[in-house]
Amino acid sequence: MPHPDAWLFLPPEVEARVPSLLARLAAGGDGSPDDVQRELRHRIETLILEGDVEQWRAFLREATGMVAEYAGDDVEARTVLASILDDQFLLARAVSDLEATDLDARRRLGRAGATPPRSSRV
Amino acid sequence: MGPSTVATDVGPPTNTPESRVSRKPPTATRSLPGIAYTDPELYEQELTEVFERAWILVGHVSELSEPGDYVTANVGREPVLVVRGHDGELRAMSNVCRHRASLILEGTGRTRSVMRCPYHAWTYELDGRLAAAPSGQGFACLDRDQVSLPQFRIGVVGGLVFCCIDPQQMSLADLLGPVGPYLEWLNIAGLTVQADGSASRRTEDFGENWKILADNYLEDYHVPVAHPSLVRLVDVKNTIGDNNDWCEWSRVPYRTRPSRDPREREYQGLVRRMPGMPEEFEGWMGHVCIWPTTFMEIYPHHVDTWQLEPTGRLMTRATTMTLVHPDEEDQDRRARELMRELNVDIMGQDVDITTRVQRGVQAPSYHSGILNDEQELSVIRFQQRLRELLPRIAELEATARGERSVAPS
Repeated sequence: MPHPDAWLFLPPEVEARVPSLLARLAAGGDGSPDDVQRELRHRIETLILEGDVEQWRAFLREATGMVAEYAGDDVEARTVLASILDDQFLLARAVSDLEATDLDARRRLGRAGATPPRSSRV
Repeated sequence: MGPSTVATDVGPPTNTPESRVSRKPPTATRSLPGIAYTDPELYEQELTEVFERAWILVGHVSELSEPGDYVTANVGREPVLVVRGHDGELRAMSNVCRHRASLILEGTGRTRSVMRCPYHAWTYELDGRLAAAPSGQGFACLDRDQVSLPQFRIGVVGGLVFCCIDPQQMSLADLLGPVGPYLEWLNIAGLTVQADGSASRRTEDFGENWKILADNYLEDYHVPVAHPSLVRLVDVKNTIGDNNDWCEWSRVPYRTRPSRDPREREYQGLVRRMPGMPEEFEGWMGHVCIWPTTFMEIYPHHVDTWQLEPTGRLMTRATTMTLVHPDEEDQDRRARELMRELNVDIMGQDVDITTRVQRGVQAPSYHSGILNDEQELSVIRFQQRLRELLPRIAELEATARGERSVAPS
C-alpha cells in the first residue's frame, strides 16, 4: 500500500496554477476574481495540510465541474485547466484507483479541451 | 511482444556413465588465464557481449498472475521490469524512468493500475507508455505520446520468465535446446515462489569475479573433496544428462543406504516426489545450467534457482528463488528446510574455495590450469563459449603465454 502521504506529489501544479485559472473563468461570474483565488488557495492549502487523496479527488471533480460548465470565451484558461486536471486524474492512479465518477470527470475534461487527447486505460 | 514457449519432447540423455567411458581421448584443454578473472577490459566486454546479449532469468509466472504484478532484475547494466498488463500480456521493459533515469520499481510485487517513478512521479501505463508527468504544463516540448519505456524480449519456459535486451539474440528455445523440454517435463510451471517472510528472493554478495563462481558450479570434480555431505547423499558416478553448446541438464541418483550423519539420515527418510513431479524423477536430484549464469537445483520436493549477476569486476551477487508446490505438505517442507541447512554448509565450503581461487588467479606465478575432460567438461564448454564471444581473452592468453604484453585498458 502506498504511504498515506504519497498523494502529496499531486497538488504542486494545481496549487500554483489552478486558482488563477479558475479565477479567470469566474471573472465573468458573480464573485470577484481575487476572492475566488484567495478562497481556492486557502482550500487547496487546507487539503494539503489536513486532507487525503480521496478528498483531493473530490476537489478535482468539483473543479472539473466548473471547467465543464464554463460557457465563456476564455478558451485558453479552460483548455489549460482541463489538461492540468486530466493529468491529475491520470497521476492519481498511482496511489488510488479511479472510480466511475472520476472516469466521468475525465470524459468531461476531454470535451472541455484537455490536451493531448488520451486513450489511457484507467 | 508475447512470450515465446518451447515444445515438451524430452530426448534420451546423451551424457551417461557408458558414454563417458567411450569418450574420445582427453583434449588437454586449459582453463582461462588467471588474469581473465581480474582484467577490467574483459569485464566490460563480458557485460556487453555476454550479459547484455543473454536471456536472463527474471522470475516465475506464479509471481505475475494478476495485472500489475511485476518483477525486476538487471540484464547486464540494464535494469528491467516485467509486468502483467491489463490485457493479460506479460511485457519486459526498461526499469529506468525516461525523465531523470531513476529506477521505477524495486524488487517484486504488485503496482497499482500504473507505475510511478519515485523521483518526480512520472507515471507510466502498464504497457510502458507515459501516462502523465506532474507539472506537465512546465514542459515546453514533452510529447507524451512519444515517451515510453523501451520494450525488450520476453520468454517463458517451464514457468520461468526470461528477458533478453538483444533483438538479434537467438530465441530462448534455441538457446535452451534439450533443457527447455526438460523444464516443461518437470512441471516447474505448476510450482509457486516460496516467500521467506516478505521476500521472495534471497541475495548474497560475493567478493569474487562471477566466472569463478560459475566455474565452480559447473563441475563436480571438486565435490568429493569439498562437499562430503553430497558424497554421502548422491551417487555422482551415475549422473545422466543432456546438453547443447549453451545449456545442460543433469540428474544424479540419491544413494539408498543411510548416511551416518543424523541430519542427512533424517533428510533421506523424508525425501519424496512432490505432486506433479514426473514419476521417473523419483530418487533423483537434478541440476540445470542455462547460459550464462542461471543455475537450478531440482529436488524432488522443491526447486531452487540461483542467478549470478556481476556487480563489479570482483563482485558478484547471487539471487536465489525457491519454488515449491502450492500446497506443500509438512514432510516436503521439512525436507526442503533440511536441504537448505545442508546447502548453507555446502555454500560455506564453496565460499572458502572460491575465495582461495580468487586470490590464486592473481598470483604472478599462475597462468592457467589443465581441465579434466570428464568432470570439468561443462567448464570446458562454458569457457569455450566465452573465448568465442570475448576477443579480449585471446589477448590475455597470448600474454599469459608470454607472446605479448597486455595492452593498457
